[in-house]
Amino acid sequence: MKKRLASLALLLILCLLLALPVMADSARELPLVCDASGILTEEQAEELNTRAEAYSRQYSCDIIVVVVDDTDFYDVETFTEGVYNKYNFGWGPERSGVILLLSMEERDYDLAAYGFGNTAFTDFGKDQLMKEVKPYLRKNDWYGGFSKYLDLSADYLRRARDGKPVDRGLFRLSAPVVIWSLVAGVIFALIVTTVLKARMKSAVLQTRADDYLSGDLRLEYADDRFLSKDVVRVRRSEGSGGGRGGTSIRSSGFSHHSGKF
Amino acid sequence: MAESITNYQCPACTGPLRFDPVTGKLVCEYCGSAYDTSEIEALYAQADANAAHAAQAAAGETQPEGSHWSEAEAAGLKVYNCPSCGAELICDQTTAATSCPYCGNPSIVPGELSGALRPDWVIPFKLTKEKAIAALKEHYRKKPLLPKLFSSQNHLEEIKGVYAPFWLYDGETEGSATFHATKVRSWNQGAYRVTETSHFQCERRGGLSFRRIPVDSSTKMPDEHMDAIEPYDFGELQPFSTAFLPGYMADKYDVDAATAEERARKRAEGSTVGALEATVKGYATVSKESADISYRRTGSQYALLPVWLLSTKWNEKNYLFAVNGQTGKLVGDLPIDKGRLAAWFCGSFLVGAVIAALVLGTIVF
Repeated sequence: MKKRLASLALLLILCLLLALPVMADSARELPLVCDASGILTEEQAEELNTRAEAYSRQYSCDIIVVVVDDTDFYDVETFTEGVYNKYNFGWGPERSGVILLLSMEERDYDLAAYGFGNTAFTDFGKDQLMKEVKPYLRKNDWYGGFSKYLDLSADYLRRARDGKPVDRGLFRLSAPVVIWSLVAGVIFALIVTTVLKARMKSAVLQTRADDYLSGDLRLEYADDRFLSKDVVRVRRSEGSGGGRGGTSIRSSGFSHHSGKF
Repeated sequence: MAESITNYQCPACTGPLRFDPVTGKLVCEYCGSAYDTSEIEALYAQADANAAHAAQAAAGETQPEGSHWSEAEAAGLKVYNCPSCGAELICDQTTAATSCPYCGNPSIVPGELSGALRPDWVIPFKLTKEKAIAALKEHYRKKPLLPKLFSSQNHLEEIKGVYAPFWLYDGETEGSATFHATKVRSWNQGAYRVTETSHFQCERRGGLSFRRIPVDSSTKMPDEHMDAIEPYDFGELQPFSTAFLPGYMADKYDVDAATAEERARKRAEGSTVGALEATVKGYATVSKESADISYRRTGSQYALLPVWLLSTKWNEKNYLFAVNGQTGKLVGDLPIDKGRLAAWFCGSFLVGAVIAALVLGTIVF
């Protein structure tokens, strides 16, 4: 109940402040891991917050987790921007940060980046990150999901600081890549050896005698009858932007990746 | 045409004459004189009955199942039997058979000429032995799975020219077939991709005529090999004469025309269904549902067709290579080196896996 009230208070304050100018220079007013819905134990929240603080300091970029009950009448992306601005998240003058916000009622999520976060968390990078985090969230393994998010974010920031942010065109050897590469290797090897083996065999029985035709086909009857018609409707894919890399930054300075978990 | 003497002698020096596949003439090995087969046959013309037979064949009249050798012909021929595979080979008196062309057995024994074996037609050898050996060498090239020692241990010079016995069938087919066909069209409708598939039943009825579908009539000659070296150009078919035998062996048929016809019938039916299917046009997919084709033989002839054969053993297994003696088309299954196969599998696996990892790791995941 206490946490529920806190969540409502957070929402109320947020609603009031969404329309206000951004207070960019002040220090953040909430812990980096802020669970207003009470889905984490206090120990878990504390441990995650400690790690988030350490990573943020190490890479000069806030790594934030915010959990709320709902986003009221705001869409999740607007709400996330509001939280980020209202509570002065972000590291340094650039207010660099990445924020994962969960809205529990609609099971919506938004992963937003700002400042240097936009460099480290490209559109492709955000998509890849959430592919690894969402399986935990779907199983309601909140601690596991946030823990993975923190570690991956730290990894992304380290790569970005090294000048190689995770983006389309950057090689990354993950478990699915290894598995599918092995499968592709076996298939390729089977094709190659089958072709080579086929070249060793040239004696095959003929099933037709087209070389010995005397004259053309005497076609005596031809009839084509319509039988039936099938219609299949398939929803077209929305299109995720294809093979282009980089980060799509809005005029607000944020970039987003949102959806359901 | 002459038939009484088959080991022709050179009119100039009396040396033995051999058929030269390049010039299509009989050439004297001693003085180099060359003669048309007809010229020599005219010189040796003694058997009018045989000349009548050749004239009849040249006119295109079909022979029921070959005919008997004349006594004079039989006297000029030698027969060898292979105790290993049962092959019965005929050659003229000047040709020495040292080993069986089918199984490579070196212990072939002389036998007796018997039965109604005289062919109606023959296609003379056009491809020389040297070219046949060159074709075999080319066949071994660029075969990464071929054991390294296989080609070097082959005795290519042992390749033998054999006139293989064939039945040539004239026939007609008549029948009907039913096909299932589809037309597909797609379009976008709002947020959906709509695909409409229309199904049709297409019936066709018709027939085809065939001229000289060849079916090998020797059980020693693998059907796959003989089918694979087709086609022969039957425009070069000539009335049979023993003048074409010098230097080569001839196998005799041991599958009669009625038995061998089954394969001709199947091929004719396959062609008919294919021809009917080809008339089902304008569809995205066409597949056969049923077919009822009848075949009727209108004639059959017995012919000898030229084949260069090399039988070789590798790891206790016999490998037979056949080269079309008219066109040079070559067939023959080659042995596979299991070590090389494993190496190629591993190498391809590594290449495929690395490329896939680079592509997937960079673009997809």
